[in-house]
Amino acid sequence: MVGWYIRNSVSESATFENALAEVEAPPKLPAMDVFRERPRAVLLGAGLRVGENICYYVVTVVSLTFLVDFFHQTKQLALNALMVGAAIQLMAVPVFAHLSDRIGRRPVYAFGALGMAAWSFAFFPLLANGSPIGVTIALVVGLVLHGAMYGPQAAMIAELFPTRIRYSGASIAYQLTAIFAGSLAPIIAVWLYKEYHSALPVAIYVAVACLISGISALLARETKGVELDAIR
Amino acid sequence: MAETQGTPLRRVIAASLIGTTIEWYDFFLYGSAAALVFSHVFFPQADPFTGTLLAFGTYAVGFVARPIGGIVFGHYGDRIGRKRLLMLSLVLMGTSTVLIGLLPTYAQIGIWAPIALVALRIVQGFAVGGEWGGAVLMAAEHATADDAATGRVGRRSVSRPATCSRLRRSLRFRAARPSLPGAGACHSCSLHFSSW
Repeated sequence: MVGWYIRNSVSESATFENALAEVEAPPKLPAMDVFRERPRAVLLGAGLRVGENICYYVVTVVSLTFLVDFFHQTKQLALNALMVGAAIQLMAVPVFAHLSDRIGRRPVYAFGALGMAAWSFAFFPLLANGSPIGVTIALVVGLVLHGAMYGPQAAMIAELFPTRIRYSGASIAYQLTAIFAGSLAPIIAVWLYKEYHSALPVAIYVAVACLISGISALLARETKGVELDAIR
Repeated sequence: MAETQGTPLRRVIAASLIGTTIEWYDFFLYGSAAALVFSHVFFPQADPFTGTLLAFGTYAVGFVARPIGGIVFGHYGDRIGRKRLLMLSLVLMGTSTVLIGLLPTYAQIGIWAPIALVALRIVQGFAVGGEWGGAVLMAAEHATADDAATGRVGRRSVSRPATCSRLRRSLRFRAARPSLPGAGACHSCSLHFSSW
């Protein structure tokens, strides 16, 4: 009810109404136009998401399973460390988002993605070691690096598409990844560990996903300070 | 570009933030409930392990419905407007979550209980799939207009709504976990979930 009231009090986006006024008719099948006109943007958007999405579920969900079930730590330790990480991330995300307005989306995103690709190799040994400080550092650094991706992400994906097909384009790029990245990440991570009795393959899995996101960020055009209606 | 409407950016961000938070809360609450309660309520015939797997199966269905929601909401969002679609996603999500809470159990109506559960979960995934794009675009496109009008506000504000709600989600996910076993003890009171 509160959500309804607040949302209803907001006017339609002017960018959208201007774009609509410019053309004779709105796109007939915006989803088709997205794939026809912007296949590269869909791939880039999905690529940006892969590492971020997998990293998030590994740090917040898989870490709990590993700590409690595989490394025999207490649930309390795991949850406390995660709570500290979440609190710090809460501050880190706006900072990175702001930074992406100042120095650009690409460097901030690439820093997060490539940083996490490297950190995943320290991440699991720190969890296995089990010292409360080590576990906390593993999760905090993981979530801060994730924040460097998540802060600029929404703006970056929205800026990949022109206003005419932005809703479709951004939704498709964002949601496609959710099916095979985040939702499968816990299953794949647990399966890899059971299969190889080592966390190294899991670290490689995270690193490869983050590498894809880092490369996507570097391949994307810098859109810092670009007006949304100037994107054609 | 002139400021064509009077909605302050702060209000736009609040709208994006609250909606996204509510949507994702509903979506993830289901995950916790699936892990703890649904297997008993909806799949009592199965052994506990299979029951949990089945419950998580209904959870996964929600993920599959997300891109479909993204495409359909994107279609109409690009054709008739962001705002109306955003409102629709909120209503769909709220209604399906309340209905999940009100569902009769397997003991009461048999196989129709899990079937209705899966159907409602598809609606949830569909709604959440359309939500993200709408919330981000409302914030982003308003921020641009405002930016041009005042030369002051950067688009960084864009990433916040989705971001903050994601964080809340992770925070409350953790917060919700310890409190759920209390609710988990009463298998028939799934209504509790929807009342928050």
